[in-house]
Amino acid sequence: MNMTDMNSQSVIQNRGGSFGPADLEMPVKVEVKNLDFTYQNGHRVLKNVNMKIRDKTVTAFIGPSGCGKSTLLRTFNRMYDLYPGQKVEGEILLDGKNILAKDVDLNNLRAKVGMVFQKPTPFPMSIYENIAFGIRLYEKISKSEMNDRVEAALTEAALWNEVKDKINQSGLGLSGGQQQRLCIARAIAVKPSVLLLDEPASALDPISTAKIEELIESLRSQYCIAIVTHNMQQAARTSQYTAFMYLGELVEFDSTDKLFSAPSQQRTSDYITGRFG
Amino acid sequence: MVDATNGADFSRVDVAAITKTFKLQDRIFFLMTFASAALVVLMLLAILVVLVIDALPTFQAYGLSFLWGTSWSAPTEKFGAVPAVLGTLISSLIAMLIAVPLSFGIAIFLTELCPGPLRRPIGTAIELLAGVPSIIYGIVGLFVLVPLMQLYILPFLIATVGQVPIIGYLFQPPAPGVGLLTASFVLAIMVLPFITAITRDVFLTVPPMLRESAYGMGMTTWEVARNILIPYTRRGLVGGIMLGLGRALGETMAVTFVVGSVTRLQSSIISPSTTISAQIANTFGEADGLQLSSLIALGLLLFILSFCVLALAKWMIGRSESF
Repeated sequence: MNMTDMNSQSVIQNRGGSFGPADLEMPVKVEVKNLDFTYQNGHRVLKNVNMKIRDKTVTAFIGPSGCGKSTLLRTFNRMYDLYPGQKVEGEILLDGKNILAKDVDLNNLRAKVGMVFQKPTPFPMSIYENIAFGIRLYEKISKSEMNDRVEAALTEAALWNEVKDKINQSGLGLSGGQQQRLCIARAIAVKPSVLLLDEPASALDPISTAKIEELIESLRSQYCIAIVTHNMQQAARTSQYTAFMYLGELVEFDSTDKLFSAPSQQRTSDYITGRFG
Repeated sequence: MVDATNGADFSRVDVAAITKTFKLQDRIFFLMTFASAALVVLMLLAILVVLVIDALPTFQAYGLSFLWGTSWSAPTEKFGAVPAVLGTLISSLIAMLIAVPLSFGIAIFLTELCPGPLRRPIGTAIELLAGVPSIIYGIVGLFVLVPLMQLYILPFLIATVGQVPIIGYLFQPPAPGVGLLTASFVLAIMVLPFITAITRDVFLTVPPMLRESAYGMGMTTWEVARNILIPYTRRGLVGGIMLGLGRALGETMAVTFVVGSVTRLQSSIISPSTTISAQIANTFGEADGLQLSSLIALGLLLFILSFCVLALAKWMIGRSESF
């Protein structure tokens, strides 16, 4: 058995790596067009970014700190709206509709675009309520349906077996990795179409990180996932597409295989070989 | 001379003497700081002792019936605590009912919704409001609020809710403007800046990422405030409310101006009434003998009441710790 065969058979090795050409041809879910982003102080953090993010695919954003990758992610659910003075220009099309338009309903947008943050952020309520609360924002369903939905979300986030006996205890009592999976469960419980992960494993230990990565792989078949990561191995392990950003520009955007094995730009090559960043 | 502990050659300096001096200095410093700390406890005890001793004649004369006595009459020397205690409790309660929701609203506006340039001016205004001396509140209350109450608000209340069965008893004439409700309004304005400042500060302790993830779920500002900010900061909020309540219970000057100082048990909350501190402030000058002692007994009750509020606050904070 040669190395290539091992790669295509071992699940751990090939998480994200094991995709055929078909995976690369998924329909475009999010299209970013001429995106510029400026902070209150006039600092321009995104410069004319253009990219197409495909459905049922994991797209990783890599680059050194301050390159704008998190900012780019936060435009997808218009989190910047919380901070007056931050300005965005250009278009982001979600299923063909510009989500940056003024008349877009933010609550509905955020129901469609779920987000998980660097640190686990369980809400100050029970594990059950952490999940049920989000569902209740958008749907009126019966108690038994709600129970099913909570269990389904927790199962999908590979957390059900660990918490099913303490579902009514505080979400804050869980370990960091469990809390982060709770946050992922909370995000997917409202059935979003896009899942944004902003360095979801950066505050976690290696075992929890591995669990999160497995989870990302298992969620890929249903969601359009965008993940920001500092960890290049993580990008290589989990994603099918990778975007390398530097100083607010999108330097290179290609399939993960290609970007890591034969980058077309010198700066990409320098970064992934560890020459800077 | 060589110091035995480190064996170094300090033959030219008297290490033992220096060490001794240092030790002495430390000792003195300890005693000074300890004395300062002990002073606080002593003061507290002294106040309590003085109050108890001076209130003793009252309890000797009436026993515990002072606590449920409803009249306060100097000529007949019949003194009971109920009107004043009830006045204090009711006026503080109404003040809190008004001030707490307002404070939460202001704090939520300031932390979540306020446009950047307005944030500082409003915040500063609230801090300045906290610094206004209570006599000013009393004056403004007497010359501005009292006529307003007398001419517009109280007649309106009597004509509307005053006609409703049962709760109508709370809104009966006489309503000359001064009264318990007027005092409650003034108290509410006085405790507002305290509760607001604390509420705003504890709301600011909520991690930005938690707020963002709540908004990221598509919650509205109201939902974030109701389900994230308030539960997350519960302990701080209880502390803030209790601080406000403590202030409302003991407030003297402003209340004395507008409460009307009528010591009589009555159901109407809009009629002239009294509170513990207003009662003391009003009658202290001419009181002697049993009446003076009764006033001090009232003071003792206020002391105990404030202590209970504080104890309750601590207990509630401790209880909500394990969310």
